[in-house]
Amino acid sequence: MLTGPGWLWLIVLLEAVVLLVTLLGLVVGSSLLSARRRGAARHEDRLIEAIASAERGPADPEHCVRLLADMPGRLQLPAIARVIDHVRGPTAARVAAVARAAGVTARAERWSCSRRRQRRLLGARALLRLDADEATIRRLLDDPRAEVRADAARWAFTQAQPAVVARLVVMLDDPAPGCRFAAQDALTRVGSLATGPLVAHLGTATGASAVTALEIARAVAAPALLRAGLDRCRDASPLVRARAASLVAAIGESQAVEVLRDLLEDREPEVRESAASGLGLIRHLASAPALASAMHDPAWDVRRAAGLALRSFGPSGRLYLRRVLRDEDLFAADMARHVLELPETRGAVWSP
Amino acid sequence: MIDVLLEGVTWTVLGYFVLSNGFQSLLLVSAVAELRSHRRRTQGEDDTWLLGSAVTPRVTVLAPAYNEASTVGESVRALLTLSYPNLEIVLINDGSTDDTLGVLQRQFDLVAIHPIIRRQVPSEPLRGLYRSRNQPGLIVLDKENGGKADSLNAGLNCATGELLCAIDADTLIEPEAVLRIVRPFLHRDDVVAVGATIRVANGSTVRSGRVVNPRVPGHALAGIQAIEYLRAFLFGRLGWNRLGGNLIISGAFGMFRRDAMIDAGGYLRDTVGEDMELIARLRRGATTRAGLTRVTFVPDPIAWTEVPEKLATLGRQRDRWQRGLADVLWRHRKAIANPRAGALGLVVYPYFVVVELLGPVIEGLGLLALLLALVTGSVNAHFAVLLFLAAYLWGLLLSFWAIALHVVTAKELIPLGDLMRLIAFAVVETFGYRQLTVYWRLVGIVKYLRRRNEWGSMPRTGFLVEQNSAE
Repeated sequence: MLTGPGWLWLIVLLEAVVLLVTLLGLVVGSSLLSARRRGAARHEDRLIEAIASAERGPADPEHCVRLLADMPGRLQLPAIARVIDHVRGPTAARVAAVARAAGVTARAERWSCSRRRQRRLLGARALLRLDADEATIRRLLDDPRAEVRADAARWAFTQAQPAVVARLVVMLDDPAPGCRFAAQDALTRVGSLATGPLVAHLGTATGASAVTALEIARAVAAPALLRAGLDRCRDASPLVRARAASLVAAIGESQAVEVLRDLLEDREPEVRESAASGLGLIRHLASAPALASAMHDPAWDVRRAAGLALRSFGPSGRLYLRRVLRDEDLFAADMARHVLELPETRGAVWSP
Repeated sequence: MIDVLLEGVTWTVLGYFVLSNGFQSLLLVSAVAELRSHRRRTQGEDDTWLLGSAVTPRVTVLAPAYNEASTVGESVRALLTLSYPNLEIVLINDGSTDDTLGVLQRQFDLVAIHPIIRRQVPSEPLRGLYRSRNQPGLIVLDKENGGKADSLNAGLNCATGELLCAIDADTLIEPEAVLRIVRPFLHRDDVVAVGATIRVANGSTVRSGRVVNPRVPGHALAGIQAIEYLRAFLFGRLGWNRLGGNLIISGAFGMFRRDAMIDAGGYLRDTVGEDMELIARLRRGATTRAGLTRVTFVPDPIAWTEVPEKLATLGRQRDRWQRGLADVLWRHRKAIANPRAGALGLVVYPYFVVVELLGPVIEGLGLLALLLALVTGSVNAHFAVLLFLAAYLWGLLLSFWAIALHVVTAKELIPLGDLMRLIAFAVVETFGYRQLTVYWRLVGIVKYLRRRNEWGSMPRTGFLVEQNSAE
């Protein structure tokens, strides 16, 4: 027969004590946290109000500086970061000036050089919002912490000097996906300024890095990128060939047509699809017979791309589609029917 | 002989409580570490920068709706205001017999469009596809009734996004939640699915499809479920990130790679646990898709859902969940304790079998055995009370920690009254409610064994809108 052993008593007692301490901690901690958050919100509200007053009319800018300087140190960087995230243009410049005068920028600068990883990240994030010159961005782009590099890349388009752009292109090979994404975003924003470094990068890049570079190049679509695109149309990777086809189609020079027509015969369906879409984008009417042929492709995506490309040629393309309607190949005829039945209204085409 | 048997059962139940609560404690420790690391990564981050980006992956939100005429307008309006630069909303009307499609047609000025859709995963036939004239990002897909999994498959066939966000049509998603749930896909190459926090909306004030005043439910049943959700999401799912990865992404709000879903064949239509089954299949098939193995959970994207306030509805829901769990574990039984499946086979599956699936059986038997033992005198009352207290206090401690994590992570301030209410719900949960859930889950197991795989239904009462709260 079991009785209440001492060890069970001890466990229950221990649990009860831990539970009471947790309960107390929960109630007190929650109240303290609420008070702390309220205090921070009050400080932030006062700062926002002061900045708004300075914007509305004659007001003492020193008042904003004093408010920020009087804030507890732990609140300064988050508060100024939140404020500057919601303003643009001259107002953002004025907020940055307030931060500089209050010593917050200097502090962010110091923190961004700290050996403590978290402090460096916080410093970098604040500094990039407040006063990110070229030297700062270049330094942070080389930071050992991936989050710092990614944040620097996000802001790099504001200082798109050749050295920064070149570093962003190198970052397309960064081991951290977040950095690669931020670099891709920044390069797309800087546009044609990225052309030179992209051409150089496309000469050597392989795999995913080449795919990303081609996607950026397609968004930039500068004629100087055509040669690199044409070269990449012969790449061993089907994904690279598909993206290269999109790039040359987006640039749309006459050399592109021949390559795209060759790619219509590629062994990989995604490349053939890109080539068909590209010919539609260029609206190269002489390629209509080749596209009509592609309507018999075994891959659904290629047939759809070819059909939509023919449709984009207008009445002549429709003529080809109608011919396919009578084809013995039921798959081709079905796709032609689908495409021909699409309404004319812009935006009414639904094609995943 | 009976004495020995009852004593054995009592010790087995004790062992089960130690194992179950011990693992929950481990999950808690893991969740705290994960939360700390998450906060350090995101501290000071401007999460709105993606809004200005031209290279964000396209996201398609799939929202299946069945007979949701009373809430569908509000839900769609909320979805349309989500902050994300490259977003498409596909609402799937799953053959509703009420006026769901009519409401959408009137409120969003729908026009029929012609589909060229490749049927990559199986689904019931489409009846029509519509685009909104006044909301270009909205597509409405009308199809024959086929259930939630079938609707999601139909949406999957139509989606144009690289990432798919599967939700329930009545889920209220916070405006910045999509921006946040996308983050893991941008920061890691191997992520295949991401789950987010679901909170209980009962009792909160909702304006234009947004929870504007989050409160702890006043209704006891909803309040206790709020505690359950906090435990399940804030340390259950978060903790799994470091202990072998998640096996569940809530059907109310989760994000997936579209190509991985198509490779996996979409949702299974003949199971009631389609969400969990998909994750199990995605993870099992990960070896064939180079590197795409990670199913992760992020705590800061928040979605709100209405939980049942009636015992019968709640019972049906829990019974369905348990049948789904049993079905998924049976379908993937080869992975259980299989070293080739890694942590998934050696940690995750065994936990789900022992604690989640067999838990109610052990608890139910234990409860009966304890009562019998008390009656026959095999166990004295003193011991029984102490045993109960030991298990109860440990469970309560875990609930308090879940509340603490909630207090720290919630962006809103939690009024003291709400905090005390949460604590009270945690305290009373064990008395009656827990036994009921054990009963419902047992019913689910029995039904599963009889292969009664019907859906069950959950009538919605609609969210408390601001006008109501002002009355």
